[in-house]
Amino acid sequence: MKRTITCLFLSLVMIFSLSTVSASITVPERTSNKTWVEDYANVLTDETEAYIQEYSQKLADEHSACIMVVTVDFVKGSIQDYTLSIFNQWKLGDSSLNNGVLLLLSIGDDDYYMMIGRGLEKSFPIYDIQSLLNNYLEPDFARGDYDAGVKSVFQQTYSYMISNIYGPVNPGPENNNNYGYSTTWDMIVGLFTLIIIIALFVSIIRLLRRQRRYYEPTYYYTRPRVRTYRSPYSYSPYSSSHTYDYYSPRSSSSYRSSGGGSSSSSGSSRSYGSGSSYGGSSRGAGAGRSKK
Amino acid sequence: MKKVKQAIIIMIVCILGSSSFSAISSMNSLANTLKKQFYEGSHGDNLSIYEDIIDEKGIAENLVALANKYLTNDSNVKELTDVTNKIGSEKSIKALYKLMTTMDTNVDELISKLKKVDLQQRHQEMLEKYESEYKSERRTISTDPYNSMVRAYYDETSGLLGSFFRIFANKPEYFE
Repeated sequence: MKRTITCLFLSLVMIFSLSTVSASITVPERTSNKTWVEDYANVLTDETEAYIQEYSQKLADEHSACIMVVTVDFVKGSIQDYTLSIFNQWKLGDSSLNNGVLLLLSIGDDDYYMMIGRGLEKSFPIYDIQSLLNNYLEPDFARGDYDAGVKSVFQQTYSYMISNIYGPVNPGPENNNNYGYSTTWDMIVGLFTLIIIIALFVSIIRLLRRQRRYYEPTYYYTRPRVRTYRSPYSYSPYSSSHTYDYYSPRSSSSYRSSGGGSSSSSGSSRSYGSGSSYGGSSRGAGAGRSKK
Repeated sequence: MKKVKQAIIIMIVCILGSSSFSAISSMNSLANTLKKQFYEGSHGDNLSIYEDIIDEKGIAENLVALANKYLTNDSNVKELTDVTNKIGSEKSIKALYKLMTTMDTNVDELISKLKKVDLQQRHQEMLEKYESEYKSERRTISTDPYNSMVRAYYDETSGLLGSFFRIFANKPEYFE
């Protein structure tokens, strides 16, 4: 039992130490849960911000989806990790449908990234996202006209979602309980699988070891009774000073016992093995191990 | 007669104890108000020295990201990175002041280095933006009345009894 627990504990420690834990990236504070554009880099005009806010709110009200636009000067680390951190920490989209869309522009890094929730993976494939970005954001972004690029790609993304995902023909995005591309659920499933495999492995080893052991007798407690000891020597067998208890739980002369509780002495089953006992000088009285 | 004396003594002790306790409590309350002013602003509106330092830290971090594109193994960049990492976790007001002055020095030096480098148009605009924003934050911090309020606290509690009770009370730190 101790070995099993130790093995499990060590495997858990190993798994957690080796698992890739996403670094805690500090993301900026969102203004509110109903703000769908955060222009930290100050590259968007008020009209564009109002446009994004209006249509994204409409998407949120009608379909619980959203298109969030964030602009920053620089990102810490990779833009994908930063986008994922924002997506998860701000909990974009519906929690069960996982249908948020996040467009992040890092002006200083000259880069952008669009991330979708897992619920949109099938209805909004990656090549469509790439196509939208290449055709509607990249030309203006390369020229430095970020405002025009963001407005254009937002319009196209919104139209795509309405016509392809939330239109009357399309059944809509699938349910998913995870945000973004998080691998937490995969990790948990993998962990449980590993625990089960280790437990099975250890059980098999113990089973194999047990079969190789020699059989040891099991002694049971019997009801204590006084018996006189008939000695071959000159003792008087009927003297009270020469009575010995066969069993006394508080005395040193107790028999080794194993297994469960006591059983009444039957005297009909046999003992196996060496049958040594502690304390007393006689063999275990009463029942030994009953043969099955 | 003994009982009367005892009663008088007990009464005096109680009066002294309660007045000491209230003096120390009021000093603590004033010190906490000053501390809150430093961290959260006078009306709890986050218009405070601490928030300005955090804004400066954000600007410094962006400046570091920009500098990393053009400078390699720069000492100012390293020191700024170190300082900005410490600022978020520092609790002492005096220590924050030291970190802020280090940050100010390094930001100035880094900006002057970057001005000598041939930057892209976009990055040039960013550099100008950071410089003006940083100066604005610095100006806001320097005009904050926090230090004069701390000075007023020490002036009011400068008497003999005040100095004595101040030993047991919380003391506000100067931001200098």
